[in-house]
Amino acid sequence: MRTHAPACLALLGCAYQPGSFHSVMQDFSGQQASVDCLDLSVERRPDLPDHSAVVRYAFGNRCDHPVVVDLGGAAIVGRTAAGQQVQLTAYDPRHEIQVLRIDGRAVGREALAYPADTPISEICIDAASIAHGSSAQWMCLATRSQLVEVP
Amino acid sequence: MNTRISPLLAGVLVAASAHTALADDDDDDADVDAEVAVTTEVPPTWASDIDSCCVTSEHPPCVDSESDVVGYRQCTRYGAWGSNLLDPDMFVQVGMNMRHFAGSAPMAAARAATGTPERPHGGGDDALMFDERIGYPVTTGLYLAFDFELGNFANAESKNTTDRDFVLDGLFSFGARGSLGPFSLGAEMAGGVMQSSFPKQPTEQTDAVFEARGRAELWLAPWFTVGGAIGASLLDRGDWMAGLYLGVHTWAYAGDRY
Repeated sequence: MRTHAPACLALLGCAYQPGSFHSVMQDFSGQQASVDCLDLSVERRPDLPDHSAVVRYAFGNRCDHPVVVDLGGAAIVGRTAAGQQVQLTAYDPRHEIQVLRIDGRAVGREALAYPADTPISEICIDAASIAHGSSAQWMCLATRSQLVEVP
Repeated sequence: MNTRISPLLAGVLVAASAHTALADDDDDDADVDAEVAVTTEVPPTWASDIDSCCVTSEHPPCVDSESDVVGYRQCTRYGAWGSNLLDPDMFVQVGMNMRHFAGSAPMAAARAATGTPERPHGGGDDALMFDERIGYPVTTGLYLAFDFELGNFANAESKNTTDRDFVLDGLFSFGARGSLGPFSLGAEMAGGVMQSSFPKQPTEQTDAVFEARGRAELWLAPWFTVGGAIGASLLDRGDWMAGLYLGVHTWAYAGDRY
């Protein structure tokens, strides 16, 4: 959003339209869900060579006022090929992931890596937990082919 | 500082540029530490903190070409999408005001122009002013603002010695506003000091200003408005102002729409 601010100044058109899952500043690919004021899309990327699963989040604020986006506190569960269920925590060496608010009608995106000892075949994310919603909305994402490059 | 308000706060930018230039000129320990951090196993530091991207040729722009994944990327911090809410909620408005003065021209000027101490024009004079205004909400629906007005230069060549050829004022205002669909409506009281000069007058005239104003703004986008204001003096009967302006807010809809 920061890099697109000049374009927004010129076009006056950078406000997110509720429910559109569309923005000139980013795409909303992947599974989509709406939780209260937050429109959220979640997409799984190819795993990293160390088996870390990578999830890309894109979100837009449906409301005119700021709302919470808590990617670090999201409820995320991984499942291995053997069916074992594991709790996943985002890779955050700088301790930068925190609860933040996104402005009214603004959009944002983040890509987070979730380290794991063994390949994670499926990741399930509670979209409601990201927006601190009351009722759970689980979205499950299957694995994609591994990357061979450095992330 | 969020990029939405940075272009408008020119003074802040100039100061920041000067600071950057000074930082690059000296042997800053941070630069050395940065190189060490990148080449060792210590937790990575932010490239964007190390070298002010895009400012000098010595430090090429920082580009997250390798990865955009948190923990791997080097340039953009987590949560850049929420950074504007870390800035103070404030607004900047730029526009033009027309001010009408019913009859405050100095009597000496009137006498010099007409030979008699009568009020010129019968209806006073006008001033076209450039208005810069910066403000911030005190609480939801209430705000403080400071207006800086300057103008009437076009009148400098006027032969009429009772018309102001230069006007400058600074006004503080306190007001309340509310939303009505795509509009924001407000009312405020403004007070301050205005200085005016007149042709062939050796000294400027200083007047107190205290006026009531009404405002209406249309939200073009969550962070941009176009608006108009009208006001009337509470000190000088017959003095009024009217203006149009563009506004930029750091928070969507001024943070008023909860």
